[in-house]
Amino acid sequence: MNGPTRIEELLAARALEGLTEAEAQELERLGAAGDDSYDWAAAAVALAELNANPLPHELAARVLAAAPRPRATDPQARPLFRFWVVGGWATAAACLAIAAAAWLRPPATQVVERVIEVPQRPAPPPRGPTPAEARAALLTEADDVVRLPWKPTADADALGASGDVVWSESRQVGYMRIRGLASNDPSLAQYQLWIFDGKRDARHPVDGGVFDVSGDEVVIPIRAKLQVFLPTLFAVTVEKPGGAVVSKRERIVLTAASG
Amino acid sequence: MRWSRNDPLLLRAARGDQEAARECLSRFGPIVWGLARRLSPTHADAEDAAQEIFLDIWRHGERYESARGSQEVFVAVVARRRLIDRRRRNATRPATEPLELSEPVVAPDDPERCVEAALAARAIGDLRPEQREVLRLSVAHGLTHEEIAAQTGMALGTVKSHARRGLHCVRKMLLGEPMAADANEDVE
Repeated sequence: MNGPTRIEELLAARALEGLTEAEAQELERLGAAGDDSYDWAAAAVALAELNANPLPHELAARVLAAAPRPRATDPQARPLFRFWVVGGWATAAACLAIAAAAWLRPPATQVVERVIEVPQRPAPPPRGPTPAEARAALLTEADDVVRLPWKPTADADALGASGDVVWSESRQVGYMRIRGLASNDPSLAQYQLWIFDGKRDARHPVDGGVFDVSGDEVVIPIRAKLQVFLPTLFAVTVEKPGGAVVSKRERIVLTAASG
Repeated sequence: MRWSRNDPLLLRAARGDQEAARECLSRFGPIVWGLARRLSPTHADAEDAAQEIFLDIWRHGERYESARGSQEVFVAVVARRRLIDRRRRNATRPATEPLELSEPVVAPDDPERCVEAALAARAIGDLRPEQREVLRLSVAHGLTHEEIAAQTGMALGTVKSHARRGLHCVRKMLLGEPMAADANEDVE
């Protein structure tokens, strides 16, 4: 492999997954560590694919508290500086008088007032449709919606469970409505949807997202990681918290098959 | 150090302009939070990451050069570097985000939030389907190459090749270079 290709390989790897210490040193030796064009490309892709959300208010307050303060030489600081130069002696005398008076007074509880700057709480964003509302809209607006009923397996947590799954191929949007599936403790296990696609290898179903169930009925948006062309089977498994990249399919609780 | 209203927001914030810092939060906070949520395993981890990212932004904001590109992309570069570093340090993978379950929208909310994002969206659309898929799983969903291989059934080398070539095409689009030849090269 020649030099430029190796450089390209390392730059792309750094932008996508980061480099090991040895790889970073190699990039340095190749004289290309300063080239961040791949990092900018990856950042642009991330922005194009992003679902942005405002920072939580408390987090924004913490971040703002750590923002740099004006430096002593900043223009905003100068009037204050001049005041201290011009009125320095007078101020010093006043301070001495105040200190003496304080020393003569009996000690009192000292109250320290700290002003913490907190950003204005932003107006709450307009409420989007709930998953149930979005599901209803999909059913009325999309003309290619597949609607399949859930079938519970013999798993004890699925006993008596029902509901359906709806999916629009053209919009790549779908929802699961699930009734009667056992609530899960997200710290112990989570449910995960898998979509078997007739145009993909059946050994590798598409990850449809991890979700939790609490309450008798839930409507969950499907978050397919890949494009789904021809859904043939939807299956819900029980996985470790955070879900699995590849399911061992040890516990399948619901299935919904087409045809 | 002086600042003027005409200076980029990032420079003013880095130099201590509190109003600029507030504006930074409102303009770039959603980008930082969106990336942190996507690439962090838990909500608490995403909060820590977002704080670290903004510290980086305050520290390095003066390095921003407007001739280079938009402030949004600069912020996203800083954010991704920090998030990738945290992931390597923690050796954890980003779990599928249970945080977003209440949000019905799955499509990107604004693919044209800056000119580079619009160009990237166009470049992604021109990629071969496998390259597009791998690049999205890697950058947008934060999966490792090994995880993408496991999820798609592609060989690891093929995943790496698709990701690299896809990114190379986006880079060319951003630099204004023709990209068709790369998109159609055979994978390794």
